[in-house]
Amino acid sequence: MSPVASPVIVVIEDDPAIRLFLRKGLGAHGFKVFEAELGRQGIVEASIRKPDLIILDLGLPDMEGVAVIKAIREWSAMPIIILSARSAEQHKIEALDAGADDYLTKPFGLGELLARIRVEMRHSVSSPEQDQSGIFMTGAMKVDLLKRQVVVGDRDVHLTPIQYRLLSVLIKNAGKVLTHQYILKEVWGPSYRDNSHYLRIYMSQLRQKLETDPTQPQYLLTESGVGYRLKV
Amino acid sequence: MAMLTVGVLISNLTANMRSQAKVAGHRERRATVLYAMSRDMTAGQSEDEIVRSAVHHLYSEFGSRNVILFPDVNGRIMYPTGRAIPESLQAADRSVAQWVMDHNELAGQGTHTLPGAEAVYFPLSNKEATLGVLVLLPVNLRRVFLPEQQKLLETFLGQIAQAIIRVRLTEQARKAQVEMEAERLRNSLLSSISHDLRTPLATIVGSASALVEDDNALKPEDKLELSRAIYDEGLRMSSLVNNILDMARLDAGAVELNKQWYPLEEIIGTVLTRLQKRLAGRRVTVKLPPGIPMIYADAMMVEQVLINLLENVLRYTPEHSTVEILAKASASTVEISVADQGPGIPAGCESKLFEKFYRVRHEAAQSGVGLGLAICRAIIVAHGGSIRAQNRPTGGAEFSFMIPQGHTPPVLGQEQ
Repeated sequence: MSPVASPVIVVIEDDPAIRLFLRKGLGAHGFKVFEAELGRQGIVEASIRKPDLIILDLGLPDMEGVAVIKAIREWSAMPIIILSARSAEQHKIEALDAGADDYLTKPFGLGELLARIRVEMRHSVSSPEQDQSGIFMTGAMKVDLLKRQVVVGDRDVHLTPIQYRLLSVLIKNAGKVLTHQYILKEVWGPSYRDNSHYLRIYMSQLRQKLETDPTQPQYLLTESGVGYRLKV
Repeated sequence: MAMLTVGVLISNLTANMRSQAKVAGHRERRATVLYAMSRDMTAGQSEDEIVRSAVHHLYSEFGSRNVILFPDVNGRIMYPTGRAIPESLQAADRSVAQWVMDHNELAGQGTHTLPGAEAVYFPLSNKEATLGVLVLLPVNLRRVFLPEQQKLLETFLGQIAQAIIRVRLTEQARKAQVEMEAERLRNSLLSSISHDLRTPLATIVGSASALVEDDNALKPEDKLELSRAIYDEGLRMSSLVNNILDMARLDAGAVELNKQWYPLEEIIGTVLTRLQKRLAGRRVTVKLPPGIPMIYADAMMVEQVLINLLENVLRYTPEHSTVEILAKASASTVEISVADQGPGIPAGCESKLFEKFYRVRHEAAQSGVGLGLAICRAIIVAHGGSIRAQNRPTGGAEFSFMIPQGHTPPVLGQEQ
């Protein structure tokens, strides 16, 4: 084994069976897992274990998930992945806007969880735009962030300024879910927060230019009821 | 003398004839009044309608404001609620009415019981029970208590009571019918749920027990296969439970639509991404006319409709067959269709398909509770649209739904 310490994850979840599955599943993939049943306990664990990532269930008996996120965000930017029930989109959005980094809807598989964790761990180490080369690549898409050039396959793609800004916000957060609110604020500024249809129209234009088939997108994925995600 | 006798006789005769003519006139008028009353009483479709026309007839015949009071479930006389009747009496004494209700006897002004009361209180009853109390505020007591008039009033009361009993019985029969229907649905839900949830549960419990009680007898590939069965059946149960919960939420009217403008390709894209794994091996063609307008809808709901339609395609049509998603727009609507190359819909089933728990073949291997299409219909109806199923002339089934646009889709100005 490598001498590097295993990454630490704190799981805040009241259901013992889910905790068991996370402990065993994540343990088998080289993570050291600490558990908390309640929100208050979870905040303490998050401060003393110095975890690389937190997994937080939104349905805790003692406090709102959003309150836990806010408490942790007062002193740490560590990645937080939330677990939530289906048809609770509003709760997911609130948690993401409060500072959570991504979410999973129960029931979920270990594979999906590991993929989310990998994206978060990568982001907390370095962001793609800080890469030496300044080049972002996924699938057949290549974006040169210094020269502002976009290539799909062997095709040069010309983007309008807003389309490019939208794409660069997605690249900066590649692999992560972004809420409509967040993207609107980043691309258009705070006064456009209620114009979700702007975003949808530009996203559709971007898909027309970047995707082979916009109805079967490979890169620009919609997270229904929540936002968008650039697939990596 | 003879002249006098004749004179008196004639005068008596004329008086008699006049009074007879008067009586005949009264009788005729009463007959007309009774006829009008009984016609309205027979025609009345609801208790409210009957009470309204009774109050009206009583007012025009007796010139008296009046009100009919009914007891609540505990037998306590209540003041009427709802829209006021113009001829209605506002000042009925509830305690007098209660006495009349309890004793099934007349009371109030001009009677032996509580003669101090301003109005007259009549029990409204048939042979079996007292239904309520008529309270009449007489302008002229004689007009109510003249024998002829009293007889007419009794006939009125009899007719009102009969009419009320009639609509109550009809209402009871209707309720019983509704309850029977609900009971039938509940039973069918229970049998569906017990079958469809128990089957995957049996697999999960069985496979898991084999893994738990394994004394190293299972080969690694066996373990993997059992684990996979648990995983697959768990997912299937999850989707069944979601369907049942969705239907319950839609039925309860607990769903609020979050309508916004969406490009159609985004909705279709989300659905195809979500079903990517399961659609692998099928050819999916999406044909959207260029420039098709955005749709004004709750995207997650419309996605659910498309997912349910595509899941049916996966379930009932041969692997590797093509599925098409088509759309067309008119000035005020957008229509989306999912067309397959499967066996099509058995003739006569086209509309039954959208009923809850309906399945073309009942105990078939295909999983499902028979809720998918009912959910689709509930969602589309909530959008003010419609959904239909038909066979394609070239073979296969086609499900189409239409969503009205309401107003003009927004357009962005050219970017500077």
